[in-house]
Amino acid sequence: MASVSNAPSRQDQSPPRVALVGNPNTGKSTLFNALAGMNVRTGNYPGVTIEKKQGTCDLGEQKIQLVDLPGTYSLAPRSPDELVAVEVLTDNAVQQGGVNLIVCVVNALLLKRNLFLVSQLLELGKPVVVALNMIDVAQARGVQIDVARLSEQLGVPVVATSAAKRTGIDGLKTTIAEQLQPDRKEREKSRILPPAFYKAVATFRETLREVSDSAARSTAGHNIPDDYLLERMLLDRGGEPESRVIAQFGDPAQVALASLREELAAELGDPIDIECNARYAWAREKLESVFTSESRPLSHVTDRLDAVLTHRVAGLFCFALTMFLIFQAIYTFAGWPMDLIDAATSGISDAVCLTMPPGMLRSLITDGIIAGVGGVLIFLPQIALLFLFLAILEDCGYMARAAFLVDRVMTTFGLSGKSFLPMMSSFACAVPGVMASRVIENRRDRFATIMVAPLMSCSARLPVYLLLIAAFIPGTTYLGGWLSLPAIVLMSMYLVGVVVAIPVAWVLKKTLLRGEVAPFVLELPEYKVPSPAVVLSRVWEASKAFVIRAGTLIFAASILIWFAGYWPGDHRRQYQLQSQLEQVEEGSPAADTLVVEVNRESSRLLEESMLGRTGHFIEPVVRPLGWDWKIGVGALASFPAREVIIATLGTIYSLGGDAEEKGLVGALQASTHDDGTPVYTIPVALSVMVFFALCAQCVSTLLVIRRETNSWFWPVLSFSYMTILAYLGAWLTYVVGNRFF
Amino acid sequence: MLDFQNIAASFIVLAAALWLIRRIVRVYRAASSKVPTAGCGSCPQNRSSQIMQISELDAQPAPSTKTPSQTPTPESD
Repeated sequence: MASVSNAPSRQDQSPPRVALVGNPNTGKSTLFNALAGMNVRTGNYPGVTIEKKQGTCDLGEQKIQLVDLPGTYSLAPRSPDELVAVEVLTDNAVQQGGVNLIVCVVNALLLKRNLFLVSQLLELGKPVVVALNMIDVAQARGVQIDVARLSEQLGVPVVATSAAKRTGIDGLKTTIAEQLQPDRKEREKSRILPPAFYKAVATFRETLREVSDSAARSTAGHNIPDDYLLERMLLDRGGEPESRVIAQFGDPAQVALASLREELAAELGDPIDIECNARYAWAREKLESVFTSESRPLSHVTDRLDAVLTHRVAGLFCFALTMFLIFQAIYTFAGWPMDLIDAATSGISDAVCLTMPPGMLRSLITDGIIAGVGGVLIFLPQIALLFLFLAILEDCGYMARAAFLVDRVMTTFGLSGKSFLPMMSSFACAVPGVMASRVIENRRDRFATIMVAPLMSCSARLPVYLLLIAAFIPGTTYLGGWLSLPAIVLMSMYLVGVVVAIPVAWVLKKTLLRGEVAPFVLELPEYKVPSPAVVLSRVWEASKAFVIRAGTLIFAASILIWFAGYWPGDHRRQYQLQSQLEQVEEGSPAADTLVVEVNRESSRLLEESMLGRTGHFIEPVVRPLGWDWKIGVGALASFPAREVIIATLGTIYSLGGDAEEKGLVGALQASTHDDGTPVYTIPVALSVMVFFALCAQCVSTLLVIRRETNSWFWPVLSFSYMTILAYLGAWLTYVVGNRFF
Repeated sequence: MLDFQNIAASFIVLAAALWLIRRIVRVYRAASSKVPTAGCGSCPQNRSSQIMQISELDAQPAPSTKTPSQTPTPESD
């Protein structure tokens, strides 16, 4: 029988590699963070980890490389990505690479079900350590587990941990270090399935070897997969290992596989039943005498809450109410920090004007950088608040309920509930949202999700909505101040993307991606009090990302937009007027006259600049939407990244001399056409918001779609349909809005 | 007339343009390859230093884990 040694070879100086494997939502990422001292994202719902994450862990004298693999209920690969993960764990013959030790993270509350995966891991023959995680929660429920007895039964070390509370981590590190010792006793592969099954595996291996030998004589021999993968080929009809081996070994492998499956079915029954019965029987046997006291019934709180929160009517109502309260809170609590940022940027701008005479550099700093970057940064408090509430909902376990609730609706329109989590991620940023679609095994469902995920309003759209709502939507309140019109409009903008995504997905599933919807199985985690560390970490990371983006991409874009609005033009007279204005007393008649002259000159220079000429060139295209050239050029500049419109409008109105006293919101409100009519009316503001809600203005998202689909067709399709939809939606909003406002 | 302000501003504009071009090229190249550095570079959920494609794991030479008995040669079983 094959056995494994974990001893690194003498030539190999790289640290041992340890993989964290386990069912979804068992706390693998939290344990990974505890062991590696990192801060990867965690969440109280399955599917948070969509890619392998790597880190290093110091075990004292030894360092190890830690690998956090996405959660899985079984080592039955159904997709190429899952097969690669299994190949990594099995050191299969085709790929180079592998792990020295597997840490299987199990949920102490769901031990029997988690042992299904443990039984598969023990068949690999690798050194295994079981981390009995969430032991604190189990103990709080009255579940007492005899850890020593469990370890004895399984034949591998078991360490009780609470990754969230960072308990048991040192013990786990010590055990890992012991298991990586070169003189450690080797462990044989477990054989959990019936003996007849392993006999069939051996026969199949012989068949493949014969094919491989004959191929070696003619061309190049084939590598025979690991025993575990041969088992999977017999068990998983149409699985990824089967496709791979048939492609590699051809008809003889296919014929042998079919014949062996028939024999097994005749002798033992359906392969799926064979595996389930054998593994659960094994789990029952191993858990005998492990529980030293009867567990109390599962949380009444969770059951009672779920009776309401997952109810098909009351649940949807609660979901809508929760989301609305979040949007309302964003308005309620973000006021004073926004004022602080506004005052800070104004102060910096004034200080620059005091220390520097009018000139090109001063204009770049005040009209370009401060007006552009400052205009975006002012929305930081609202971004932080949005992520705070989303993190709380995620960590308390509510998001999984929301996915369950919308499954029925999504299935009607051709998407499965599995699409919900990628779409939910897209509310933060479409890039991880698109990447999260990897959890969907069915290719058609995955591509449909990728196509609609960018329609969800990401955090980059939020500043656009907030700016225009602040400027043009009256702050009318209802229900004693609990309900406000701006919050209703903000929530409506978020709903626009969701509502449009439904027919888009339906059309895709009826045409390009025709096919049945895959069933959705989701484990609802227990409700828990959100961890302040997890929540604050999420808020911190989101806020940091926003500030970094403002300080890099928006900063550079603001400078270039400023230059486009500055050049060409002779600014000498403008500077002369500005110098005179700074020398006269503020509020005096002379100052008022000079302000008018400065604004007239600034406006003329802007109109004649490259930005102004481009804006006037595209004006006929945006005129049907009710937009003037400034909005048009702002929307055009925002195609690489949405927030650029804030920077663009800030720069345009600052260069034009309109935003100096009133800020950007005041400048937008005061902006008029040549005939004196206001540029921004409520229909225009709504039209701009709808355009931004639907348009594919994010190069990063389009490129990640290209990477995930491995084709340019899908990003081109995404860009085309979204841009057309955005234009039509904005036009319709303007036309309909004009009838009401 | 070129004064200090003009020179400094022109330099900043040029630097911003070069930085933006470099970023566009890097993001485009990343999207065309399998290396997941595309997307919002600042997004904490998309940080290339922490996240690798699972297929990349294969490409890395692993510390030895096999004994001769596990090596899939005809003699191994």
